[in-house]
Amino acid sequence: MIKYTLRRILQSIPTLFGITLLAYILMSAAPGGPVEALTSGPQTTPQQRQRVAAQLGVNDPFPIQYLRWLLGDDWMRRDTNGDGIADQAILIPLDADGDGEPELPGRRQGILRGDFGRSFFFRRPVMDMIGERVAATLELGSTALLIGLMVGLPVGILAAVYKSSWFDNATRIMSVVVSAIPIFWLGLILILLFSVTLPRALGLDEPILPMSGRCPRVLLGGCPPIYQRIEHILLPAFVLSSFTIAAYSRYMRASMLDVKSQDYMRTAHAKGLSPRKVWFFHGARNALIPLATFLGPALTGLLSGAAITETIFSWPGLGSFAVNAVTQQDYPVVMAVVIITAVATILGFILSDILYVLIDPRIRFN
Amino acid sequence: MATQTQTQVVKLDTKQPNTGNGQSLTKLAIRRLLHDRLTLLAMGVLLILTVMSALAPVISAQLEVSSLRTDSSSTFLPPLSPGHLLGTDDIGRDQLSRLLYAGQVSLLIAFIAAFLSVTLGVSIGILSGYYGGVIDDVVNWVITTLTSIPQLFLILIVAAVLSPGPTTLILVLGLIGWTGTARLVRGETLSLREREFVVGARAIGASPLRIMFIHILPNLFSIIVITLAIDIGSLILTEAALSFLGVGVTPPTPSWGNMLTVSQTYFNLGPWLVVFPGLLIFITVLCLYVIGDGLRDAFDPTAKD
Repeated sequence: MIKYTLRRILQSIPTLFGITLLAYILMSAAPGGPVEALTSGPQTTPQQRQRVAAQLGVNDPFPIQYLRWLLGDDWMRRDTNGDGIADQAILIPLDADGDGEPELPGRRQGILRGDFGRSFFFRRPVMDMIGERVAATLELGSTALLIGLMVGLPVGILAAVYKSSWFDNATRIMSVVVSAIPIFWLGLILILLFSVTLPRALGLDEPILPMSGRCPRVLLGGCPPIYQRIEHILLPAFVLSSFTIAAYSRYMRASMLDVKSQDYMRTAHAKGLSPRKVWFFHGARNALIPLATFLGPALTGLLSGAAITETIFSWPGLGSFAVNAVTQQDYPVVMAVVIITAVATILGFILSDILYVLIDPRIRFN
Repeated sequence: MATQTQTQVVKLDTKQPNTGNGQSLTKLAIRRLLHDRLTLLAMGVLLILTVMSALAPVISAQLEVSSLRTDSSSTFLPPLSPGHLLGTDDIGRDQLSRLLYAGQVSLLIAFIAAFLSVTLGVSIGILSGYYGGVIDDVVNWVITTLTSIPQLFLILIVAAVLSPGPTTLILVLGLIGWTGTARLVRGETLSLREREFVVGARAIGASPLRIMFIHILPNLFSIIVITLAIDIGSLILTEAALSFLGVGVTPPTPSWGNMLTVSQTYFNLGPWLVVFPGLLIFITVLCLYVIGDGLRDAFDPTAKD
């Protein structure tokens, strides 16, 4: 198993390389960049701008720039004698801006060591800001995934057991209908319903459910534990889980129907077991196996959906952070979120493959 | 002489699966479709929506409304107001007219982008499935890379890097969305490559391009049509989401997505501004998904009549 895991991780290296390359090319092509972000003041002269550009290494050849972003420049331009000024350089010039003085030693560590630089907009290290927002996204994402599993799986099982019944047909229609609803519109309609229409109809002054945020506005400190602010997570989690429910019920139904015609099911029936035992202990347990492979794709879906859901409900997570960063041209933040979600996705795929082999004794690692 | 033999081989092959009564799969599928009321209904609704959007100028002129004329004395008129069937928005523009013009933009973007992405996906899929080897490895690498980034994020950065607008959006959606189609077509080509009619065509000296696009492509017809219907649907959703987030179609050009961006600030004054654009997106996408499902059933060679 360790060998298999290692091989899968090695296989993902080319993919990771592709992702970083793509992200870096996009970032370099983008309008506005580090130079503009640092020299946006009205007093900066073109000379100063050029100097900043040279110091940042924007004029270096592309492969060098990419390498610097990937691995940092603290090993490219070093200070060996401890006077705070660089005296050794490889790949990049010691005196980048051409004023006759050597530059300060490189301080960037590169994204492979978790240094995504500073946000252009907030002027703070990107990693710190991401750390503050991961919890919110995990909270929303795992709640939605849990709802998706708890509703989707039983619905799928029942639809397969009572195939072609009214319940089965209703489930199939619902799953197409749900996948055609724009997720952001569903959010808006729910907000409209619970904050304007229903309160008005019931003669209330306040919204029934809060419209935005993870908890009531507080001056200091974070949010209270989740059980004290359930009303805040209800709507976003429902919106985010809607398509997960649809997808899981569809997959579970298909998987149950595959299992239905297996020999062991017939044997269980023939032994005289009750239908409930046959379906749930012999059927559903085996039908769950293929669903392990669905974990990876579900993760990407949740992350994409989180970007929209978090934006509508002003949920302070990674998704809304990235969407805002895109409109603010805050590229270090965008790159960080994209690469972190991509790594999470790849890990999700590897994990679901390993899980698949672990659960199903008929498949061996090789 | 050689070409004649080839076409005969192909024809024989398309006739063979499933039908005892000498009908081609496509004819059979069309006959099944004509009996499928739900799919026909979806096609009808989609056709009506498309025609109405295309006729937006005519309909607006007939109703004596304009999608551009602002009127500060008649803002937030509710639906069914005199002169404004679906009401007016925050600066007094007629909503029906705006919805129709927005339909032009949203439908056009989704249709062209879907054609682009399916064309790309089919070409890349056939090439990598037929040639295999290094081409296949490179294609697989590109597909894995593109699908490892949550698609919305990927489109979001690309759309933000290039300046927003309908043309950019078509290119971005078309150039990113081909991976699923390519995967499907590649798998299908892998199995078709070993079939007798392809081996036969190769034996009489047909060029690889001819085999790929004259012999294999027609057998992919059902996959292509189904993917196209579903792709247009999901692209309408993606375009709407991007425009809603402000990186797709930007005002003053209306699209169903960006009409919702403005409307979300007027929950109290004009809830109907939130309802209608989303409803149109939903109906259009639902129709396309139903059509996709209907086509899948119609082309299913194992289905019985």
